[in-house]
Amino acid sequence: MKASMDSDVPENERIEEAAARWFARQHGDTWTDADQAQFETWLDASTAHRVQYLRVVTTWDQSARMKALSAGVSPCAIPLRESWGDQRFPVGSTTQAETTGGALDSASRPTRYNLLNWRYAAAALIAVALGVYMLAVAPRFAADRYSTTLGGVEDVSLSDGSKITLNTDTSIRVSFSDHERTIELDKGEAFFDVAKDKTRPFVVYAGNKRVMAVGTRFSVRRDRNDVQVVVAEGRVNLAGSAEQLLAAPMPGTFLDAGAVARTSNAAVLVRPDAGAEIEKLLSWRRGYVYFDNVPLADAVAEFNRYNTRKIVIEDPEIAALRVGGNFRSTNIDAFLELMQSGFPIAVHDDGDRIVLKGR
Amino acid sequence: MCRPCLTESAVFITSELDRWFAREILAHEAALTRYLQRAWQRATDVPDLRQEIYVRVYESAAKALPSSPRAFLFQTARNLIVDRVRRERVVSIDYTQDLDALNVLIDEISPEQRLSARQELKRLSAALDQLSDDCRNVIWLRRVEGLSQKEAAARLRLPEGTLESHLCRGIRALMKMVLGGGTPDQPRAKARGLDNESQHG
Repeated sequence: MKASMDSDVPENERIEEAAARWFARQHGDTWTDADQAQFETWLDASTAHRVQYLRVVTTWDQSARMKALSAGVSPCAIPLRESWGDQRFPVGSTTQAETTGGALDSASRPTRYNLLNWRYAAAALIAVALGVYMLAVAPRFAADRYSTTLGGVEDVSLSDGSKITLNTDTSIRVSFSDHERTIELDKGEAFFDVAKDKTRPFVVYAGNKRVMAVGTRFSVRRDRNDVQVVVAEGRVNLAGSAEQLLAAPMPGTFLDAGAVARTSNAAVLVRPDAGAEIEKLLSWRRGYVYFDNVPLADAVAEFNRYNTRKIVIEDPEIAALRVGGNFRSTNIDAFLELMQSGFPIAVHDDGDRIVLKGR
Repeated sequence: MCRPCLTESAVFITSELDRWFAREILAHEAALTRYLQRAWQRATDVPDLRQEIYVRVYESAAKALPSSPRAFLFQTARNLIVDRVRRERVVSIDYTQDLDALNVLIDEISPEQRLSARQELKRLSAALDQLSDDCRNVIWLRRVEGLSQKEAAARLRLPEGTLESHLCRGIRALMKMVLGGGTPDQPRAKARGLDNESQHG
């Protein structure tokens, strides 16, 4: 072993290096009984030595497959880098190292393949027929409905190239005509990545609000008539729907990128430049919920949007505790664990509901 | 002259437990590494955490083999991180991001897919090509052509000691690809680069 054991190198790397060196020496031609005894002493000195040595041995064993690379290489010539044409990785043919799995499988396959092919072909035909129907016929008299269940986040690609991401417990209807791309947000929250089409505005109806865009990225969240709009890119117009305008006039509001608007009936609250808040409000698309110094009650309500196991707060005092952080929305356990360890809170799991109490 | 390589390693590990560890635990190194990278903020700590986890798993398995090795491995990982967080006295809720990631279902972290022989060979060839010339030549002669150390040294006109060093470095580099599922420990490499620079400066 070299004397290069400088303190900069972390202990695990030093052990890994020592393990690799033992291994290399063992495979030399000068390995003696004395060496073996020394090696065993080293190996037994610490479990860390042993596990690192096992990593080395396992790597070596697994790289045995490399021998298959020598197929077609003239003996005792070392092939150049990246000289491995695709023919080197034959699908069914037998190379030295493939005898364990690949070769056996491929021998019994061909007849089944043919049968499968027929089934695929039939399925594909039906799929094409359905697709033609959906594209050409269906939209004229029916909207497509997409929905997610509790805790689900799903992407939908539309025929115009737009993409929609549905958050938990969300339901939308999509209908396209020659002059409008219409989305009805029946409940929940969705993010829209809208493909540009000046001739057909993209309009999201959420309760008594309508949010209109040409080509932009934004999200709309609906809680009955409370609607929140977050604009990540471009510009949208937020206005009342026809019914809303009849009930109480509401001026249309333009929202630029970075804006967050919350509305309830005729009232609209706009934060024009929400900055970093935007990404956090949209973090659900990656499966996260984000809290910035909010009351525990709000955080719990947010978790309950995503999970069938509902959290209930029994003590009003703890409901007001302020929490922050970034959590995976379907992982209540992480959140609860933290509540227990960081706050005077006791968690009781009743099976279908989780009760939080003060301690 | 290209005699077949013996399965030399069998000579050195004979214990049933060692084989169990290689088969049931090391097989998940790629998933474990990804898990740690998500759960722990400092990427440079990951190899150290990993070693500690392996030690705990091995020592526990020496007493009694866990019935579900993969679940046990990740449970151990999780416990270790919780311990470390406590030790660092991090009670701030800002660290939730880390603890939160701990609870990601194990299977969510792209479950190990069984590679076909063909894919695996492709991966190995890519691993081989990443090595420096010296290491690559040595690995080729020793592992593929099965030459002895002496024969390989003669072919490459290198002293045996030097050859041993190349073999040692070559294996360590392969380790990241073979066990780590093709994810080299990038942050560590970067940190090293910086160290070197500061030494020069």
